[in-house]
Amino acid sequence: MAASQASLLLQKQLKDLCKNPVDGFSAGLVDETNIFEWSVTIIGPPDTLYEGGFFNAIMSFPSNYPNSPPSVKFTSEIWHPNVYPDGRVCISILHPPGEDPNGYELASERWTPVHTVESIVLSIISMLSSPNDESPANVEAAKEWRDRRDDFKKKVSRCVRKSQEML
Amino acid sequence: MAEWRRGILEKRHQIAMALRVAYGGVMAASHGGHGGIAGWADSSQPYPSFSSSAARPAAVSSATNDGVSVGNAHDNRRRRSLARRQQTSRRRTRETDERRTRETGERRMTHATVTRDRRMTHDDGSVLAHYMLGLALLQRQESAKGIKELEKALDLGRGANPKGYMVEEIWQELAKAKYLEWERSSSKRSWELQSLKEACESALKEKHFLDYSQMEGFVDDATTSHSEQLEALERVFNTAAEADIPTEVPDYLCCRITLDIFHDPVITPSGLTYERAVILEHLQKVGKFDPITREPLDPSQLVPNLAIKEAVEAFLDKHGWAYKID
Repeated sequence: MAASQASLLLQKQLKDLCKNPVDGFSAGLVDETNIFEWSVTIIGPPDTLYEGGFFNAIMSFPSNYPNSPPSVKFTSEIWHPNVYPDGRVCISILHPPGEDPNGYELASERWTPVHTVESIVLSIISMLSSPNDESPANVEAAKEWRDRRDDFKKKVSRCVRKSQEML
Repeated sequence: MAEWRRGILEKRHQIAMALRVAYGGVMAASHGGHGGIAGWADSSQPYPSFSSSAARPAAVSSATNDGVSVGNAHDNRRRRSLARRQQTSRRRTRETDERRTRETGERRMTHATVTRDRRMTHDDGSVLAHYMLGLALLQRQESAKGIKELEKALDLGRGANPKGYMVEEIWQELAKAKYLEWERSSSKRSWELQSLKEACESALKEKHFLDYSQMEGFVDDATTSHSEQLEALERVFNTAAEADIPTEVPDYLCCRITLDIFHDPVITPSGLTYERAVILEHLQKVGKFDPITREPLDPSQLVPNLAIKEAVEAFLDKHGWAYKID
């Protein structure tokens, strides 16, 4: 029942996103035979350092979704305090309640079953606009963002240009 | 050990009873050729057990009555009524069950399901009996009766164990049956509407032709009027067909977690409604809080949202296409 429920729920979301696309990103399956692996392209939010960029990411859903969160990993190079060097996204809503790897997150901000592909991606877009340097996944990026903003901007610009070239 | 065996035997008995009722018609039909006393006797076999179980409540109620005559009258009336019902059932059974079913296939289906659900309790056995009866009736193309049995099984199942996989399975079979029923009836309605529309269009054209031939000098006005009438007719028939066109289920009838139409809605102290099985799973596996408001939440605080449930039932009655599981 759990696996079937997750599958049905994801299929419904896929169908809904195809019918009613949302501004700011596009989403689809990596492989049409696997509903649990999604490919997402996030458009860099306007009025942010990431504007103009097209960042690809993979969302991997567990078989017990929505009781557990998916993992999200950027495949495009991106420089951000809350993205690990390997591309894994570290934001509170993707952490199961109870787990607190960095000790900074409030329980009230963590995963809840009402989250969908859309709400998760919108949260990531929001993360791009407003980095959280209190619990950084990329310490170097967090330092630059805090202490050497110009260097940070240069690195981000390079990522934006690189993502454009990849299209 | 003894109790365990008794439980098993009881479950088998209930299943056997359910199947006997389902297959009773077949036996009657097969003996129909011979006719006479033999056929009648065979067709009556499924009913004695119901009679004996129904008699017990009557005995209890008569024992509590002070007046002997009142009890007797009541008892006699009940027995007569029951007998009449049995006769009616027998007649209907013989009349409607002329077609032979594939017994082997049904038996195989039965065996597989029974094997899988062997560990179920007595209550679940009762659920299983109605479920199996419902499936058997659907196999025999008796949709209305089959659906009724599945609904009974669903109600019993939810009472016993709302999170059980049996409940979900029953719901899916019920949804499938309801969808097919809708598909048949909507096809018929669609055809009827189309026929009526064509008849109306022909009538309008005929009227237009007659008007055209009679009046000389107001041709343009008549033509415009005719076009407008045809357009109005189109709108009328489109509106009539609206209920049968699949669209989206309104958000207020859908669970915020499953994004699907509610089957068994429950409301939290925060005022939000969820599908019972899903919110229970959340509380058990994710955390004891309302998923949207994040207020602390305990399973005991969940209350059936009967208003939404009725709204869902009303919506599904009108829009059978919503039974389809995408």
